[in-house]
Amino acid sequence: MRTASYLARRLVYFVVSVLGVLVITFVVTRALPGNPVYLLAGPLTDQAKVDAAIRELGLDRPLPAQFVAYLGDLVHGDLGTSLRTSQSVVSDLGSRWPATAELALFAIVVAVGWALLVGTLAAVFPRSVFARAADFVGSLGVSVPEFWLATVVILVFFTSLDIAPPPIGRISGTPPGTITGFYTVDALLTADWTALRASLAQLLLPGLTLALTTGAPMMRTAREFMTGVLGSPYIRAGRALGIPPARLVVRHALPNALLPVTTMIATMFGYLLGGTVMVEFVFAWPGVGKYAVDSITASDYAPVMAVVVLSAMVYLLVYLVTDVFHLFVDPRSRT
Amino acid sequence: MRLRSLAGGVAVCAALALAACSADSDPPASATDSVLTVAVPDDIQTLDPMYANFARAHNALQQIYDTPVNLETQDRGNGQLVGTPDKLKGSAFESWERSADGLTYTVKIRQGMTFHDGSPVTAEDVVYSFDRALNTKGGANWLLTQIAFVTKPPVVVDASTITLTADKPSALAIQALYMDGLAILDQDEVKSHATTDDPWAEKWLAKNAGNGSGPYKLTSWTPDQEVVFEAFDGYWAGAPAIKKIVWKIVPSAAQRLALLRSGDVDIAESLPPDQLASLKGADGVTVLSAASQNVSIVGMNNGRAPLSDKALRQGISYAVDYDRILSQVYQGEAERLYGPIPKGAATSLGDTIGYKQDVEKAKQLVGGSGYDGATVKIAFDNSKQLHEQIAVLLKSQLDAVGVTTELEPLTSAVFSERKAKKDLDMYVDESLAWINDPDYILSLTFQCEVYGNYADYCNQTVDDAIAKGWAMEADDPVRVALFENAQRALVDDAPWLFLAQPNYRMAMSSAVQGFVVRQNEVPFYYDLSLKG
Repeated sequence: MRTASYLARRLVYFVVSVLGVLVITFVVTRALPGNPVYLLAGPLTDQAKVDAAIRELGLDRPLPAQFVAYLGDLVHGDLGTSLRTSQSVVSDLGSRWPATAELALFAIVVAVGWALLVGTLAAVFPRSVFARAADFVGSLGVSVPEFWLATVVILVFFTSLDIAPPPIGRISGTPPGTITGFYTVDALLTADWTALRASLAQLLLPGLTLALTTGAPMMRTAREFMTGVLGSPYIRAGRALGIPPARLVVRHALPNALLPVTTMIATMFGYLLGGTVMVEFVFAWPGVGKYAVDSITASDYAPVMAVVVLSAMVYLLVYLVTDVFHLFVDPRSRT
Repeated sequence: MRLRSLAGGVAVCAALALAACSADSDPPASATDSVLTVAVPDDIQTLDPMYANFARAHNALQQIYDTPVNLETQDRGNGQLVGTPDKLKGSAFESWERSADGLTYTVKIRQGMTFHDGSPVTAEDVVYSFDRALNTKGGANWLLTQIAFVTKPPVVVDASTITLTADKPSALAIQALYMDGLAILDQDEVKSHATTDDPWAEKWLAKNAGNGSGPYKLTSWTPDQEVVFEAFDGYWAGAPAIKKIVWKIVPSAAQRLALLRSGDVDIAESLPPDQLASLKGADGVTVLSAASQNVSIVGMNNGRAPLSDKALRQGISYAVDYDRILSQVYQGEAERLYGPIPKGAATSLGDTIGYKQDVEKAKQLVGGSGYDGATVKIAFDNSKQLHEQIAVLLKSQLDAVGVTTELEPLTSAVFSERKAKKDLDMYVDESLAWINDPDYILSLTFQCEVYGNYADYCNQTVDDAIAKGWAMEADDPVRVALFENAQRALVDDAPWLFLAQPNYRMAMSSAVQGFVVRQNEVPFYYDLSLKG
């Protein structure tokens, strides 16, 4: 019962937050200077034609009227048309969102994997060479800009060693038939092994770049909390009782250290799902991050709105799931 | 075959239809011969020819659609192939004849020409295309009504003849028709997508490649990723030599360069000067560098204080270190621009006019002007790195002669809007005239009250030359004198800083043959072939 009311409350928060984001984004995009029509009109025109285009787009109407019109379209699933691509925003996002989500999922899985493993081992063997190496990789991951790391990774693995495929986006060759929009999943579903290999190969470098930068803070958090837990009385008691070290770490220490790490994972995953502009730029990855930035440059309101609101929803959803997860794992959050 | 071991790279290579592996020795020559891979920086903005305003859209449309006329390729003798509007050849218009009063053109429509689906290009299709341009609000409308002075669609005389009538004579009427805005559309197809709200099918044509009659068909488009064109073997002038064009959309210039070096692409578009310089001596890579009529300028707001003061504008024109901009920003790959008409365009006075740096004279002029020390803002589009470099150099040079300046970086949309509203003091800009004629150039940028006159300039001598020039033949000595006078007047008024004519440059594999530098600087893949 208590769980149900908690969930209902969270759901209301969710809806209110999304509405808030809608209003703020709408006002901010419109209040900022820059009208998309001028850029797209070019020099071979006259003021009357420009004014007509502004009227046609409804950009001359008062802000509240524009907002109501936007909401009206929104409830019908119409996110507007991008002036920069001439396509509907729904179809634009339909091709870019899977690119971002696939890369984000790949990166987060790899990041969580290495962060937990390395973080735990470094906490268990605090004075080893391994722990020092983990320190170094951790500092590198949190301090190096993604843009720089991406460039170096390409320089080393593609340009110099030539063991990675060229940085030309999601796939070399023919993409698999579209089912989910995730190339790897679609390739599996259609048993297109060439496309599977090709899309996995393209995921590697950008995925590893992001896994290093997002995994580093996770690893440091995991290590820190693990060190704390390992020094706590109940672990010492367990050790005194003769519980084997491996079992002590995996069964007793890890679950308690993991909890704060899950919050970190949620934050990082939310960040990745918003599209990582610089990595997308360097790897020619056709994701939402670069799409959003290009749209902002062109003052193309509809796609900017859509990306911001979508990212906000994804963030809120990831947090919701994390909190619900905590509700079940952590008895303290149920009180 | 190089090792591409990550996740079975060898299979990746095979799956690529050999396009990305063309630098490797293994693939059979016949297959590599027919695929050209190009790294481009961005995606297509619109596929509606009448609304195309950015490089990639022009680039795609020029392959898909025929235009009434096209540029004849001329060999400059130094290995450079160029195409300029003063030498035209018929395309959909096989030939044309001008009436004695200069108003009516009797045009023979090329027979036997077909669209990509095999249906014939008819006189009605041509008329429909003009009609659509006249009834939509894009650039093609402007070309027809303001350059060719055509406001009524042509009339069909018989199956192979139409007449095109202008309201008043224009020396550039036919030249204006080589631009992709005047693409020949399949009227049946376009009409089938028209609705009552959208009678010219603008929504459909913006995102769909129509049934053109150009040398290539757009066969696949993955947004922000890849565009594929395949040869149209039924092209009226003969099947294209290269059977497939693949665009890889690679936003990072550094990666486009890396892909060209590794042989994964054959052409890398839009590389900045420093990266082109790094290709010097690179194996198997050619960097084409050709004189261009693209002008690099800084516009000054003639319509509001403080730059409405002519002496101040002249002073600023003397303050600029032009040589430093040529060497530092363009790394020497540019010529100096001295006036409004670039070298290479008819009547250009070249270096016989213009300003050279003279700091003393600059200080004198600034001091003697009505300038009160107000801050002058130098605006630039912050997505354009070279423009930022120019603004930075300019700032220090103007500060040195007593003009207080401030940099004003703006996003593309804000820059365009404020420029069009004449709400900038100084703006760093570029402009490439698609017709190399003084009347075209001046009417676009310096005619009083015209939309593209962002400097808000107005001078009766210039307007007179523009008005009288239209009816005269290009080589009429009276016309030449009119435009020479206009150039002198413009230099004296100094509405812009005339900086440079940066060379047109393109980095490509040495296998790419026959690249023609066209006036509009849009590559036409039909010209190209690949050496085995």
